[in-house]
Amino acid sequence: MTAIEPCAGSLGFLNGSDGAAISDVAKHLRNLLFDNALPQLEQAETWNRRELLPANLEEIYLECRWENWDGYGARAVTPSAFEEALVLLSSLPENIPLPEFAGEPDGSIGMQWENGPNRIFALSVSGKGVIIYAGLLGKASKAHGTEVFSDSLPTSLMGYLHRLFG
Amino acid sequence: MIRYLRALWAIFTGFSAKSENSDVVDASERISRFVLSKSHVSVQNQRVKYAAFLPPPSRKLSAYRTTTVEEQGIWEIGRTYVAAPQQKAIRGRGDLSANIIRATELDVVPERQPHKLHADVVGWPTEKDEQKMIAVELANQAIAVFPPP
Repeated sequence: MTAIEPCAGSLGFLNGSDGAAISDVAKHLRNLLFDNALPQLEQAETWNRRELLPANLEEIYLECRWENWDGYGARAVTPSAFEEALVLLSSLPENIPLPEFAGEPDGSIGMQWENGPNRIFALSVSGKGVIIYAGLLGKASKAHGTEVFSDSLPTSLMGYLHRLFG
Repeated sequence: MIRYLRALWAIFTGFSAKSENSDVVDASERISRFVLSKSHVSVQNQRVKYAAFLPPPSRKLSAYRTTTVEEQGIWEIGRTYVAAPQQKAIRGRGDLSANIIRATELDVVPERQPHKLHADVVGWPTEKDEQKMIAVELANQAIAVFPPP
């Protein structure tokens, strides 16, 4: 029983019930936790999610780099498509949720975002400096087309993604 | 439960086994697209991705008419006629009514090889962005079904 008492005391100190001196320590620790450690932890979590994405992309590439990877005669995804997808991915702003990846039958790498029914946006790259996109942006709104890709996501596509999640 | 849902489907669609032998695919028929690539399904989100509905270079998207087939039979068709010849596993399937497919201006036509219930989704545009738009619309309405463990 006596061994438990110090524990109970330490719980009390977190609540500031063990006197002013200990309460100051508790305040200091609480500040450290909430003002510094937790925000850093959240940042680290975001960073880790971004770091994991290339691994997911690589997984898709490894599955789709062979002819007929889909069983329906798909063309192999090329290293240049993979590299371009990596560049595009790194150009995505942090406030855009992470996409899901997919191989496409012509050897392109696709990215897909969803935000509920009738809200899907998809784009693909094939290593040729072109983005092909299509999206449902609500029940009565859709868009599709082609954009030149040179290291950053075109503003028009950024606009569609913001509309998708707006 | 699945049997019950199938019975409901048949009641609501008025579909009969007779029409399955027809050379015309009825608007109410269920069309199933089998998926063999892991990258084309999202098990976590219970979705078949748009890429599973993109046509191959021939612009004939292979599918099956499955309205009158029991759930187990559908997977059997998929395993025997789609997965086994490619030495791959089935990752899932996307179910759509022919009506939904035709609303995108595509068509579903019987193509009875390698199985009497095989069909092709045809009428795809030549431009990739237009194909992608249709694939997104189909994925949006498709019901994802995953094989039993």
